[in-house]
Order: sequence, then C-alpha cells, then structure tokens
Amino acid sequence: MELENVLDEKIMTVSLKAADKDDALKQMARQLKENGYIADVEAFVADIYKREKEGITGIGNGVAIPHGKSDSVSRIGVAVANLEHPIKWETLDGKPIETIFLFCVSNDQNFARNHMILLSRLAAKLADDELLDKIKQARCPRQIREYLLHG
Amino acid sequence: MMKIVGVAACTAGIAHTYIAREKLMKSAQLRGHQIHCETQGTIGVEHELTPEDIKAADVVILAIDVAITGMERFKGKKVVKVDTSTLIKNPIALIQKVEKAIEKEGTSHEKNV
Repeated sequence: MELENVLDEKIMTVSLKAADKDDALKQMARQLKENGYIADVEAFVADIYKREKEGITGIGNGVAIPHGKSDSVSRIGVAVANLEHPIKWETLDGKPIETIFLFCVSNDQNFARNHMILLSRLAAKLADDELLDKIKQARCPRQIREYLLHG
Repeated sequence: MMKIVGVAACTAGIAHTYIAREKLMKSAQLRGHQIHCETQGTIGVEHELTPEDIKAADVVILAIDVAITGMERFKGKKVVKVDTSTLIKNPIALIQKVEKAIEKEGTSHEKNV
C-alpha cells in the first residue's frame, strides 16, 4: 500500500467558507461522512475537541492539524481544506489558520495499521514549509493531492 | 559538530511526533550536526536508536509530550527535554540553544539526566 491510497481528492477542498474553527471542523466532518469515512459527525467532532484540549494543533504558518481518534471512524484518511478566509485557532505563532489537515483516525490501535503508517509519513511531510505554501496556493483538490504525493 | 540522538513523541502519536522528527533532523543537519531520531507513536517505535548511536552521542534531545519507553538508555548522558510544540515552533533556535549548552559544558565530564 502506498501514500496515494490514503490521499482522496473527495475530501479535499480549495475554498472552504467557514465562519470559525467549529464551522470548519463540522463542514469537514460532514464531507468525511458523505464519503464514508465516519459514521457520526457530532461524535467525530467531539473526539477532535478532546484532542484539541490536550495541546495546540495550529503548528504555525497558517496550518492546523486537528486529529481525533474516534470510534466513529470507519475509514482512515486526511481531509484537507484551504479556507477562503483565515480563521482564529490556537496556534504556535499566533497567526490565523488558512489550511486545515484533519486526520481521521480510528480509536482502535490495530485498525488499518498500514494506513496509520502512511498517515505518519504524510504528517512528516507537513514539516516542509515550502510544500505547505504550495498547498495553500492549490487551485483544485487534485493539485493538493499531487503536492502531497510528490512535493 | 555535535552527535545528537533524539526521540519524538506526542500525546496522540499521530501527527506532531512525525513533524517534530522531520524538523529536528533537518535543523540539526542544517547546522552541521549528525543526528539520529527515534519516533514513538501510535504505530510503535520507528527509527529506533541503536546502543552505538546513543553511546556516541554528545547530547540527547527529547521532544516529548508524554512519558516514553527506554529512558534508561540515556542514563549518564546530557539530556535536553522540550515539548513537541517548542521544537515545531522554532527548531533552529532549539539546536542553537543546545549548541551553546554543550559548548559551555566544554570538556567537563559532569553529565546529568
């Protein structure tokens, strides 16, 4: 299994209109539900907030990486959204958020281990500021996916 | 040039751990150091440090938000511990701080954990 198998254009958006953090998370969760990743939007978002309480997920440079381990997850993946307008978020550098990578992960540690390994590879890529800048400029979901695959 | 070994581990073990490792590796190499960095995440231990890596290291950098396994491996070594956020926010600043600390220590054999 390769990284391309966990990167799904259907859960990537280049111009998400979100009023605030909560709105953004709910819209992204709804998209995950529509595409068969999660069973329940409310339960999933509640698990995201559990992780949010444990530490800051705004990693700086306008990027947030919320991630909940949730029983509601039936398929592992990462939703990506470029926001039309930056929103407030708890961040390491105080800058508002322009791009969200929402990790959709099962609570069951042994569930889809291969996928989890691939997600860790994907997370490592998010250390690259140049890549993040490219993703922020993406004009369509396919471009986001291409950048994540090939830098 | 320093020889560095590191461990990265975050609360959920999904994302920060791996971002922290990348940033630590890149910054250390950029500053001309040798580095090995282990991750302890949801998927277990990866890039596990060898006893030789640890023995040769001038300093251990722990970027951790949770207790890690294998702390006893670093007994007697100079250990710098930060949370993953501090590392992710400004990895170069962390490396420079460690450089200074090691420089200051000079040839002293007093080490602590």
